[in-house]
Amino acid sequence: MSNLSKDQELTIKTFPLSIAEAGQVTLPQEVLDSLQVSPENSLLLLQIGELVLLVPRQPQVSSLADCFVSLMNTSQVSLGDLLEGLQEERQTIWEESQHRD
Amino acid sequence: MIRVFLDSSALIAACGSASGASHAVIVMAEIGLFKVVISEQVVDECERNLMKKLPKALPVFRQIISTIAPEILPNPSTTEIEQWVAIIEPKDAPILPAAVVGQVNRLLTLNTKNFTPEVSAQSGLLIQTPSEFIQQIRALINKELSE
Repeated sequence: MSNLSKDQELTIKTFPLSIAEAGQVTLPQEVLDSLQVSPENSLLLLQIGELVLLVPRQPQVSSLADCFVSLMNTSQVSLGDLLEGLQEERQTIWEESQHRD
Repeated sequence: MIRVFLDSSALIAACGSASGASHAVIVMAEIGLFKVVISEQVVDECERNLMKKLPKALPVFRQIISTIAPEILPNPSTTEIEQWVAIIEPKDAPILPAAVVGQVNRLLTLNTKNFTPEVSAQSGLLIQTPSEFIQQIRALINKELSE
């Protein structure tokens, strides 16, 4: 039954950057090449807690989640309500499977 | 690429809170840091739940799923599920064989009551909360930076 998951290594490269007076930074050519971007393109700086990522495109899930949260607020449904509902659905699916067999 | 199985609790939390660790997980998945894996049952649970409690959000949920493009695993057979009933609450048993067959590197869930360290040890699956996973990524990066 045991199937121990293997932990894969993340490839992490570090590039020291200097910040100019106006907050500008110069990205190394290696980074620009690997992201396949040129000086005319724009990048997105994504901050997750203390973690900062520079990505070549705008993630869509955050704006979708904002929309989802807005619908929750409008309907006065909390995340707790939804999580509780999931447990009920899991129980229902289990019971349905028992009746099928 | 690292394969991360999202239980339905983590998936719904990712949709329903843009500031939580679960959401950070799907953002990082969208930008390609790892592959999200779910099972048909996870989708079914979320959609049934939304149909009852927040039907207007169902199209948004489906858009989120489409955006993170998860690998959706078929549900395990009854025989496969039966092997796991002894180590976890029966209703949660279908999730374990799906994650094992999917050869995921982690199973992320908010249900720490049933997905315990004992379940992790017996299944061989690395089970974490999304918050633990994010903390591990930070620790990994800090370690790399300090070397």
